[in-house]
Amino acid sequence: MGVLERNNVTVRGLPDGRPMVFAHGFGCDQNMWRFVAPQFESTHKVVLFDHVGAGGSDLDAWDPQRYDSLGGYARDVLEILEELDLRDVVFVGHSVSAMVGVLAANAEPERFGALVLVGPSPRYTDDDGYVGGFSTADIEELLASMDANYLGWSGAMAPAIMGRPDRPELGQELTNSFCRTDPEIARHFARVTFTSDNRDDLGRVRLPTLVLQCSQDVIAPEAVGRYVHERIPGSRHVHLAATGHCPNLSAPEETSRAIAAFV
Amino acid sequence: MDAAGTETWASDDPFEVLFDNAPCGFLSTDVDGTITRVNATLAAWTGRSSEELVGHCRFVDLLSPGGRIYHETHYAPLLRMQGAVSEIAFELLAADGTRRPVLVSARTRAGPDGTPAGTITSVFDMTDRQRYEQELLRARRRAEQFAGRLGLLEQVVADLAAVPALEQVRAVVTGAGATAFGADVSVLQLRDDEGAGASLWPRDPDVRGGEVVVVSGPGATARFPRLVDLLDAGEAGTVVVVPLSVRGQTTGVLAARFDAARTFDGDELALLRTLGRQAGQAVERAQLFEQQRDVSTTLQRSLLPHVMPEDARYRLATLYRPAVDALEVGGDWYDAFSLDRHSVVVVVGDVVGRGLHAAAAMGQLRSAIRALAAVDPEPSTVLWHLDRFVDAVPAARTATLVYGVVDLQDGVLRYACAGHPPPVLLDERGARLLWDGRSAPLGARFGPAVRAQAEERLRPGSRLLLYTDGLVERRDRPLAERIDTLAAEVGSAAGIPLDALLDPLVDAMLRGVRRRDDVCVLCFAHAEQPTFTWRVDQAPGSPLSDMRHRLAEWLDAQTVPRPDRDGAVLAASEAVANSVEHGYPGGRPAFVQVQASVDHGVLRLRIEDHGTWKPTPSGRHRGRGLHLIRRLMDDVTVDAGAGPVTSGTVVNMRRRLSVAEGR
Repeated sequence: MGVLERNNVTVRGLPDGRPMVFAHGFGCDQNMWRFVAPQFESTHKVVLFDHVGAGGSDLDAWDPQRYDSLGGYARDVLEILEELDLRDVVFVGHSVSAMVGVLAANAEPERFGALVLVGPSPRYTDDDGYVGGFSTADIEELLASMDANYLGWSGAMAPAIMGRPDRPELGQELTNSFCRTDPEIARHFARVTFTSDNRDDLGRVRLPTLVLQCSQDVIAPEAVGRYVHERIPGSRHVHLAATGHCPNLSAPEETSRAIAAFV
Repeated sequence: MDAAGTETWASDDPFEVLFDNAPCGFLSTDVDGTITRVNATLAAWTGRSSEELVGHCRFVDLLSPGGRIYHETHYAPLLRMQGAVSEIAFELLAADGTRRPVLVSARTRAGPDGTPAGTITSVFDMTDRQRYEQELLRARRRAEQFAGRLGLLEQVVADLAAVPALEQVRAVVTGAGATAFGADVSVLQLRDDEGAGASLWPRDPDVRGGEVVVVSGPGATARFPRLVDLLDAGEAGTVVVVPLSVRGQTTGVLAARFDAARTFDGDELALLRTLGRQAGQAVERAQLFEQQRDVSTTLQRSLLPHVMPEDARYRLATLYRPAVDALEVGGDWYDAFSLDRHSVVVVVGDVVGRGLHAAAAMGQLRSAIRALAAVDPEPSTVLWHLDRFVDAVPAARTATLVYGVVDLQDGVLRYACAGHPPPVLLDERGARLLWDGRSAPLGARFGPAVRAQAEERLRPGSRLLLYTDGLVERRDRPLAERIDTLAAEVGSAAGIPLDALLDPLVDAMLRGVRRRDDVCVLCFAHAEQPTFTWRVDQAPGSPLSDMRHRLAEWLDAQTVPRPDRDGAVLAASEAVANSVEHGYPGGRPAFVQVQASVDHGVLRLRIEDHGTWKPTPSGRHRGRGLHLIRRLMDDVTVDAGAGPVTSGTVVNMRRRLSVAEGR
């Protein structure tokens, strides 16, 4: 299976336009961009994909070793760019994919033209003067809860806390949602995401970078967005009025305008 | 709430009353997620006042940290994309840090322009439901465990049906204790076991009544001291005693030890009772089967000849090897008997099938052949009569056999093979197969009406090998090739003494063969080496003159010159006298055997007794006898068996014949 099938890559828009690659974060899939990406199809070559383990990706390609750090996801991004032979890429990464983009750009800067980081966080937990938004205890509790399949992450994001083999239609309905994820992969991805620390990678970015910060984002608080902006030399910081962690869904117009103004 | 347990309403508006006091939480938010309205129930659950919540908090702020991430990464995107979500599990984190499991449903609220203007959310307390679901889950796990055990029990029952022998039944039953119930040690004790008996469960009314007994700690030792001992059970764990019952009788117990104390619910006890009943039946079946097998084996062994004819002009060797893992006896047999002073009959046959019927049919055939041969030993005639005989003995029908009658005067063998593999003849020209004289198995209604027979002259020293197909059949090789292999093996064993011939030969043929059939072999060695045998095993005082007379007669027949003959007779006589008088002091019954042979001008004598040979101090007469023997013979060796096992004495002596070579 090729890279494009593995990551369920979708290419739309202007064939010869400047490539824009949209990367979804932890939780859902490329549909996350469904209100934003179309805004750029008339001017850019728009590339969407699913991380392995999410959406329409090839679940068989998932390998706990390869994806044991964000570097594995960054490798996938580079393979997609190579397969499509893309250069001067505008990489738009949401949430954890903002850091995936930073890692990929640092590894092969020649392929990239600009980075757009939506709700980025280089580290989710507080650390000796650094405010990540969560305490280590919060994340430990979160991961422990997920391992116990207690919170109803992924598989039981459903209602049925305990799993409902007697009502398979429930599962089916949820499987059709764009947030479907294999429970084991989701747990693993969560662990990789929320235990990552990419603060040192920020300073190595040499690309024009836009940091989009939401209001009242519990996952990536404003202090974190400020931190990212300060660490990436020459980066731009835009504070959106949109609230929550997913401005691409809750405020697609504002988000698109901010990106368009940057590129 | 007042003393009567009814709410005191703050408002008179029935909708307000309903909204605020409904048994579930309600809240609405604006497009940013900030709470615009919350009912009293939900506010109480969060431990905050509605004033603290409205305009200051978002729903996500009320969740546990894990729930917050889930809200932002899954719930909110889903709600935005689908316009509604239902029954998502969260934990509310109250102001005092306590948690409350809730089930949340929400839908987006559209503003006048159709764009999302906020959300409306309902929150149901799930504390009880979660408990209930956990109970359901436990119940399901129990049910799954039960179904798993039931599946294992079915497997055990199927396994029991597939094994006929008692040892196999034991293995399956004790294995079931571990596989189906996780016992650390299981033992099966039957009432009929040696040293077992009902003392294992002395007058225990439950065990005798077929009830499963679960007992822990010191109680186990008090109640079943011997079983606890057998199980090597400490006092920490649990002992389970499952009676094996057949028709209301307890015939044994399966006792199991669980190192960690545990209890058994009704389902498990029912499974254990079933296991006990099934095991009881299987044990009974296996005992019946083994009884029948023992009867067949005894019968078959009793039907094989115990005494083979003795004659100086030939020797016989036989071998019977049952199939590996044979659960029932086969119908193979061999036989040899003298007809008159100058002819001997040899037979090897194979009745189709196994078990009691096959063994009985074999016995009848063997007797019939003896009777028929006494009337007319011609092979074709014997077979012709046997064809009629098996009409009356259905189990003997389609039996195969090879029958041969040897004239000891001229060495002519007349033989016939009824559907049987060909005999192998070995003489100085090598080994070859006797492919003539062939016809169909007994009772077959095809082929010529007259049974074929053939003739072969046996040279001095030749060997004739008769055998059943178990020796040559092998799944991965053609039969003809295997028969040729046998002939080659016999040929290469030409120099081996008859007594040491058959075991290695059969071993060689069966190497690498998974033997499912019995093997029966008879070797007739024609005039290989003339021997004389005389034995006395009665009380001392029996006439030695008889031995002297017969030995002299035999030596004459071997044309041994007179001086050699007389010397040998005297030496033998001295040796036997010593054995009888001194080897068995106190007049206890004696066993003395004299053997003589003449071969290539050498006369050999062998005298064997089971007494104690004391050369010098005990008797000078005996010492003098040995002195005389040494003068009469060229070479004398005395092997007085040392040690407790090899009691008895063997004297071997040799004398080279003076003038002419014996026959």
